[in-house]
Amino acid sequence: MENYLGFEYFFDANKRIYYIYIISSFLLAFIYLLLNPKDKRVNFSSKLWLHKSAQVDYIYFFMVNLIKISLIFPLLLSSKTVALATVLFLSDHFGYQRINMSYEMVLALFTFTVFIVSDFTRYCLHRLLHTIPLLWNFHKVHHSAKVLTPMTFYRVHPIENVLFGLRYVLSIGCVSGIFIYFFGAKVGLYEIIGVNAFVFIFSLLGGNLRHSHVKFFYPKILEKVLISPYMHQIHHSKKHFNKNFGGSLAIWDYLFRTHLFSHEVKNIKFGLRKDQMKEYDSALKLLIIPFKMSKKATHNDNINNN
Amino acid sequence: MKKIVLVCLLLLSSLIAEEKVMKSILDNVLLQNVNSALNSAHTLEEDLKSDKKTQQLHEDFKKLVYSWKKVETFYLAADFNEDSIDTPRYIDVFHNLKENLQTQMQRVIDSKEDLEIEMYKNSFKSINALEYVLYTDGFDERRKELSLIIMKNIISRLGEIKEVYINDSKKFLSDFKWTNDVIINMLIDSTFKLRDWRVGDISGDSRKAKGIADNRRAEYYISSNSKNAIRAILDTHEQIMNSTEYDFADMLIENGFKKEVQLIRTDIVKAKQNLKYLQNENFESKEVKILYASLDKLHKSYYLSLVNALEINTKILDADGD
Repeated sequence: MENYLGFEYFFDANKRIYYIYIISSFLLAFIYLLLNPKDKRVNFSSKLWLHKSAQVDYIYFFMVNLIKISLIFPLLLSSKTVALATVLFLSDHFGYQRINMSYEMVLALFTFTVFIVSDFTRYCLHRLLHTIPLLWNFHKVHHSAKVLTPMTFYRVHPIENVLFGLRYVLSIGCVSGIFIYFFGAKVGLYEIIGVNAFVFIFSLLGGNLRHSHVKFFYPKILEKVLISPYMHQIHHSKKHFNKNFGGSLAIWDYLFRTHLFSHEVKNIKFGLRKDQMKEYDSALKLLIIPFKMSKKATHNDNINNN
Repeated sequence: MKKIVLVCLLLLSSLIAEEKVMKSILDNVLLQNVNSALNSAHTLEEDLKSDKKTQQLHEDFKKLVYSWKKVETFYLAADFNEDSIDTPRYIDVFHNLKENLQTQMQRVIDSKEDLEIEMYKNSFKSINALEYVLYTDGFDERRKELSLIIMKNIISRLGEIKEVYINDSKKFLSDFKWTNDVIINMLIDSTFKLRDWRVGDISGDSRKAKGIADNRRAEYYISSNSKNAIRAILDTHEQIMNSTEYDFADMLIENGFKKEVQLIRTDIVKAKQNLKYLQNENFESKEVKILYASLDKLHKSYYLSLVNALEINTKILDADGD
């Protein structure tokens, strides 16, 4: 029952809203607000936390969690299946290979590669969600949030969950398969409380402030490498949907020219165009509207083609 | 408090079990197999010296092949001591030699030169060279001398392996994570070579063979000991994964991999049963495909167990968007 309500999210280090990450974000926010008292009013306001959009986020979190548990997770491939398929493919085509390397090196290399590959595929998929009209219909759900709270992270359509799930399974499965092929049983991860060490550190650095109104940013030089919370808030602003697609690392945005530093943007307004917002004002609508829009777009395409 | 004591006891019993298994592998597999190979080698050497009939020598050779293959299948000396990496290649050159050993050995046999000079290459002192010397044409005095030189090398190399197992086993008996990994890697390595090198390449089923079968590619084509070698390899897997004592597989079962171990055990039994399809060393028979398929399944089962056993937590903070 607990699983269906989603309470375990607060006690699972693999989840964004794990209590330790929330505490660390809270501490960072506290320091930020001490230094920027003018932002206190917005962040402590009940108008933010009880905003209609935030309320939709809370209800939507429980609804989608139910859908994920009962419909999506059972259907998703396991990354182990992909890893096995990869290692067998390599073994069949290139014979048996082993690279001799110390445990510590293999562990460090695998931990780093998993983090990098996952972050890069996340960037790619995120960008595709913005550029392919059909996918944008679904990703709009996430961008329809008028205010940002840590729960906005879960304001994602189940179809998008499936896509991110597939991305994860395929990319991590392939990486694991390749490593197992070359290093066999030596493969492992450096973990902190059961989480990839890199991910844990990133989450501590204010992962939950990405979806908040705390304009916490890093020094410019660091923002070339890491996405600061404010850089992600910029991505949510109406004018900059096409910037800062990165998850943890900013290098992809920097490389592919979609990068925007925090200091380059002063004022941001979240959400979609005013005329579109009314279509996203309830949790149920968030689930249904992408399908309606996609159907409408297909219908229009057919008319144009005829 | 009770919980802490219980966890400590569980950890302690798990450590004791692991140490027991590794000690058992060292004594009952590694040392037992190398001792057995040394005995076979000494017997052949003695029978050569006492001019036993060729039939007896062939019988001795068959036993040597069987016992050597068991050593080679589960060769951990290279992991115990890096200096031992090349030792198996000084005994066995199957898949490790580009030249035609048979032509070269015939030249050595036909030559009138002193044997000590003629036998300058390591490959001339291998079990594969011995096969040629023992099984082609008539067995004369020169072939006997040649065989004794080869046997001297094989015995010396086997002795080196035994020494490594005795003197350098400290890490094997204490660093269980490393030991587990070394064992699993070796089992996977062995099943790949068994499937492709020793069956598929000959029956035409491997990717490299491209459907062309050729019995002459068999490991012991001249002496018809290829099936004997395959049986030895499968028996070695059984020694580790399905022995009568508390073994490596039992330890895996205790760690929650019962399903995987059962799969491997079934596959080993099945592969051994399917050896019957390899009749008269004829790999070109269509029925050998059944044996190949069972070896393929065994190889994949090992990989499946490895993937499941690695417990890689690759989760990257939810599979959600951003």
